[in-house]
Amino acid sequence: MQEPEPETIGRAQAGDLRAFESLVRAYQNDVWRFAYHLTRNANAAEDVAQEAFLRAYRAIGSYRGTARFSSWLLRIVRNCAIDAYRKTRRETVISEEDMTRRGGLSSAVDPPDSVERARISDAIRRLPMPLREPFVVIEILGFTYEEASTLLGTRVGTIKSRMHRARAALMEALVEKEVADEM
Amino acid sequence: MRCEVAQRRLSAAMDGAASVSPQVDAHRRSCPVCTRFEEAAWRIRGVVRFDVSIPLAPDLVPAVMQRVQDYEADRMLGWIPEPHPVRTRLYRQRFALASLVTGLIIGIVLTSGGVVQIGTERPEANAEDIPRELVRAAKKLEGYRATLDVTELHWTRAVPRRAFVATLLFRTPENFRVEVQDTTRYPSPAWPRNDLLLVTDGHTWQATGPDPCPSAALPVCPRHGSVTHSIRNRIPFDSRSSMPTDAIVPMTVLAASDRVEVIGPDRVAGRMAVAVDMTYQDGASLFQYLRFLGSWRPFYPQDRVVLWLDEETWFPLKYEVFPAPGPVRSAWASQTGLPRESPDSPVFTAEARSFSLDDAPPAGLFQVRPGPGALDEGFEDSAFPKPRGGPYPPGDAELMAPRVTEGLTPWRYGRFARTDLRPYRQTEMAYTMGLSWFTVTRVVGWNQRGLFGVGAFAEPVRLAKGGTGYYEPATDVDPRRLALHTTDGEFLVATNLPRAGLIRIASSLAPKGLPAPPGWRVHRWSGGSVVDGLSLQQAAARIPFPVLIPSYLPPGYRVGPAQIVRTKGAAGIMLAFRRPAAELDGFGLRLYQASGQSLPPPTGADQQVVMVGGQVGRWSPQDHLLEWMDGSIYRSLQGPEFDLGTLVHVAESLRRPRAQVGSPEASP
Repeated sequence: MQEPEPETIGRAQAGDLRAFESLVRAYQNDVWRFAYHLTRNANAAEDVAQEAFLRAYRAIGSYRGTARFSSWLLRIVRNCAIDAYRKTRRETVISEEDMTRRGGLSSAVDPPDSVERARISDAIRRLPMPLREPFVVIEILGFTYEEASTLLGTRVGTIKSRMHRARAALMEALVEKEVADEM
Repeated sequence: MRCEVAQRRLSAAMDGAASVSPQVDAHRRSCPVCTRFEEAAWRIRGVVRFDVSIPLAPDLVPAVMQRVQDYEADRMLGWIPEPHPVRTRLYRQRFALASLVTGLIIGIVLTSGGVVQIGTERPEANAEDIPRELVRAAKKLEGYRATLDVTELHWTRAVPRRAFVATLLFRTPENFRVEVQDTTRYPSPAWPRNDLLLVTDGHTWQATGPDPCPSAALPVCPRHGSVTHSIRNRIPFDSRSSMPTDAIVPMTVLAASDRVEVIGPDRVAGRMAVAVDMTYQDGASLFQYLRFLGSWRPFYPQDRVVLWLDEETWFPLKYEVFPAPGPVRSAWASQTGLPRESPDSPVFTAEARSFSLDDAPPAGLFQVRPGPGALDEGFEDSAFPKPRGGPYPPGDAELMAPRVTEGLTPWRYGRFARTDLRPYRQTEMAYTMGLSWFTVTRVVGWNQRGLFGVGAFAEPVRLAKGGTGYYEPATDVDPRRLALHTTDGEFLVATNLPRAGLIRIASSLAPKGLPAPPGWRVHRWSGGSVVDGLSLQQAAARIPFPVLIPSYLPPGYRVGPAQIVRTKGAAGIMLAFRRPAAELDGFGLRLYQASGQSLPPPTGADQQVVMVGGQVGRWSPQDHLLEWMDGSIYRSLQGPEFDLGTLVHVAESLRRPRAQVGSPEASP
């Protein structure tokens, strides 16, 4: 992820809405993608992304430039996603993917790679948040362990361990799903 | 080498965070499990990094910038609340403590060379943990005694401050007594005193006190003196004659974490407490032990209630009400006859002077002798059926006894006599533990075209083994409920436990919940028809114009079932948004959209013209109703809990849902 010009951040901190808008424009894809991977639901991701940008706007005065701007912003996204997750975790959440499958909106016969993609996507969605977060940040968004450590507020050793556990859990889920589908 | 160690290294190496040592490499070559792990990990990477199935990111700029501009506008209008006075005080305390701790840490780091990782500041208790802790506390409770000092400001101009002493007694499972002694010095004996008494032993119930008195008539109240309302043959845990036990454990108020915000730790009467903040609307159940009779000052729905929960027992030690800031609240206060009230000073305080769990109060304190005028609820208790070394004998109990009781034990069982008003057979069993309870009701011979015990906007939920139930959140008078339509009759499970527990109990009933008959959804009258119980997609497909849904909702709210209303020349869709755990006004937020209908003529002098996304709209403060025309489409948004700013925010976030675009279901 590219970092914005310090001048743009400075102008946004001074209340220049155009400068803030340019930050939104520059980061909206990354923010939405991160939110989508955390929520696995396009509508929820959009809500989370919007909320995160609003919180970023309210808090931009406190950004001191000691961490990368993208890490600071994604940390806010993560907090918003956690808030959204907490609010819905005791409910029976039907994800967009489930709805699509149940509603028969997908084609009658999916090609094999999309079946596997759906399985993996489903398995990622079922990962507990402490495993899903580092997996998304590192495996999908391509952050390093050190960057993920800063972003998630977790030690590098813990990140390593969680990445391994996430991969093992995904493998296990995939094997179980394959067996279940074959039956 | 163990596979776990090897796989952890391989995993880190994939991400460039470690190298593969010769030992790991050798293990990988010889171990089929680790080979499979690595292959699968690379396969997963290939899929997730190049996943073309992820939807394209939408253009967020217009929506975000609109919200930023709204935020700026609200801030300038003073609609963004100032920092909470209690929070400010706690932050000051925490800052002082943090300074001390920081000094110590610096000292330790300098002297030991160690590095202390300081995370972001977090409240010591998470809001999401509180409901679980409360349920735990409620189940353990056997008896309770407490005395609270209550102070209320601004009842009338002549009596600006009133004081009360409230004594609360509870003995499990349904014995409750509250006595409120009015210790106010009134200007003369003509003023009515708010001395109140409520006593119940579960089977009978009695409330005594003065009827509410219109403030304009004070000090001479037209109905001076005490009145008594009594009930006999009371239904177990009946919501119409409730035990206002939220003052002991606030099960209704704090049923869900989305309702409260943790402010931080504090100390009350020498005990460690957790301070939480909520709106008066959400905290109203805390005041029911005072408000079952008598006259009290009004509160604005958005006034803030700060509640201090004992960190050890989770009982409320203290709560205060702070007026909401802003001009709308000031206008309301002026209309209500209240003086100017500062958002920084509490206008109501209740603080526990003492409380004890040591011994349950004697049963004699809860005895009631209802007089001849008592209301007979008609519940006939009988012995709770017991399985004798096996399953329940065939009959009601066999079908009604849930396999999952969440640790609660049988308490009461009985039925109602058939009457003209109740021409069906109704049986009920109750389970309890401490303050927690649930009931299961079975109705045979149900004669109405609708589910028993829930309303038109009950939310369908999936139960275990493919069953279906219909869920209603708690209101200020009704508990959380879940209705089941089965081949063995209508069932209703009601409880003060959280929603998840309710669903688990209902899922464990022997009869399987079926979808409600389609015919029950349709209600016709001479002027048109209403179809309810539809999903948003089903309802939108039947409406001849694009249905909009909000992209912004207040925290915790989500869409429930939809309703279609057809009258001559008009077709409309009603969407209900509610919070899943409790919606105390029973209404939530409702969005109505209709074609063939124009803005109705104004009905009140207080209605105001407002702008809604560039359209001229109308705000009716009495009804909390916002209406506007969007081209030829009439839209309205109503929510008794919400002020104009919030409703406008929701209204301006309306847009076409993604699923409708290009969806064959959505075609007119």
